[in-house]
Amino acid sequence: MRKLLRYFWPKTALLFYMDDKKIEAAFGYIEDDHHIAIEERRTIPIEQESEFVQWCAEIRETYPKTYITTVLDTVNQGALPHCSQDVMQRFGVDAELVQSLCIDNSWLAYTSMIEKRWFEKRCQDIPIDLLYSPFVLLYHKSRPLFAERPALFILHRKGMLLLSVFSQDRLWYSQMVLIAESEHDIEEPVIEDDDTLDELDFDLEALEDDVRPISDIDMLGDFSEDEEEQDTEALERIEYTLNLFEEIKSAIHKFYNDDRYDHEFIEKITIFDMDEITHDLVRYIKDELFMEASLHAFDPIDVMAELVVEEVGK
Amino acid sequence: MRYSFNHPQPKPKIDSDSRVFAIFFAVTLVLIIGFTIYLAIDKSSMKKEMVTMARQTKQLQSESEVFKRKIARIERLVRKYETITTNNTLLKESIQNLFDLVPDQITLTKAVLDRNGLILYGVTPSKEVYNYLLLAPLKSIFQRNVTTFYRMKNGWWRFVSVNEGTIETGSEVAE
Repeated sequence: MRKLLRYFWPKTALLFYMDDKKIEAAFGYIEDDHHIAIEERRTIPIEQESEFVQWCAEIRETYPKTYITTVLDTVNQGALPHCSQDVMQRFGVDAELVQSLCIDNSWLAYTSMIEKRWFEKRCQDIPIDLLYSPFVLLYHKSRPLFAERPALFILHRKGMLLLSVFSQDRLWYSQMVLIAESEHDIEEPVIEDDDTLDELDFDLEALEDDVRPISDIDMLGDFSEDEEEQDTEALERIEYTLNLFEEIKSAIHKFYNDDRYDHEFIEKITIFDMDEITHDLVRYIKDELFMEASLHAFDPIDVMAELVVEEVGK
Repeated sequence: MRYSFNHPQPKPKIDSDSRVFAIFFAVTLVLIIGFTIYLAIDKSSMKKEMVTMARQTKQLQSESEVFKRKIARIERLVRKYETITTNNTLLKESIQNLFDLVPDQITLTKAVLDRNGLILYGVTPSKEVYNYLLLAPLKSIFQRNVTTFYRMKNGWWRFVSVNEGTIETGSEVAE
């Protein structure tokens, strides 16, 4: 009877994630041998969200046992190294404002309840069954690479960086960082008090000698707009990569120096990328931090497919 | 192991179309089974009714036969009654006629009328009176006439006249 039901009304999954420009979605059958056979994959521009909602409704009508699954992309979420009661207080997380989930009785994933509700409201036309933390996705993807010694695993999507230090048996450290994409995104420094103003109080007379009239500056030659755009894009990419590198360096520094975390020397960094990071980042890490680094593509759909099967596949 | 912040919503076993089809199928099945049961019950009750009716038919047929026989008997009786009535009327008329035939000179002392004929006992002044006045009409009625005379002291004659022949007398109803 169960096999018959499964044959005529199979368990299916609709997996999707969103960013600023598009919705990436996939539909597949949850097979008996506990894997998802992806049948169809669509990339829908975010402006045509209604098309995705309609597709979702059609699938749910045809396959009532469809598990709609996505990943939470809000900012205020994270992971903590233990599942104990006092861990939130220790890391300054207000337990009343977050929803938490103990993963494998080892570490805690949490998210801001307000932001989760906001996300659910944003997807109110899509009845979400399973909602994953990106840290869970990173954990699941990294798990085969865990070793006895801790290593840094990074998940990158455009404008966002998730950093977690995992070893075979535990989570050591985690952090979510927003990356400024260009200079315009960097916030202007806020002048907070008079001391800071004093520091900015420079000697105008001394500067006058250094200032040259504009006419003395060599004028740049003519160049095409395309070349200008290409150059700008390349510069922005380099700047973005450098920002990433700085954030990684800062995170490692924090891991080594923050007393709330257990310390252990990291020798290896694995980067999972959902966007298009250049290999320059790997080179920077190797050259500057003298650490082993590797870059891998990351498809949240594949990881969610494996997680869905583990949760509802049986 | 749970990895999701949300618990998945409970899923229906089958889709809405299939549910409608299943409900329709179930209702149809129930109706068919119900109708079949009704037919089976009705059939068995009809069988019982048929047996009862067959028994009643047999009984009525036998009663009908009895009634038919009774009617036939009654009809026979009626016919017999009518025949007897007619015969008696005729006999009455014959007797009346017979007594009308007896002349004043002759006196009848006894008359026996039966199936075979008429026997008259009487007294006559002479044989001639008897022969002319009574025997002649008796001969016209009966086929055979035998008369025996006995002389009396006073010279008159006692006679016994046995007449056998066609005249029929009324009899009891033979069933």
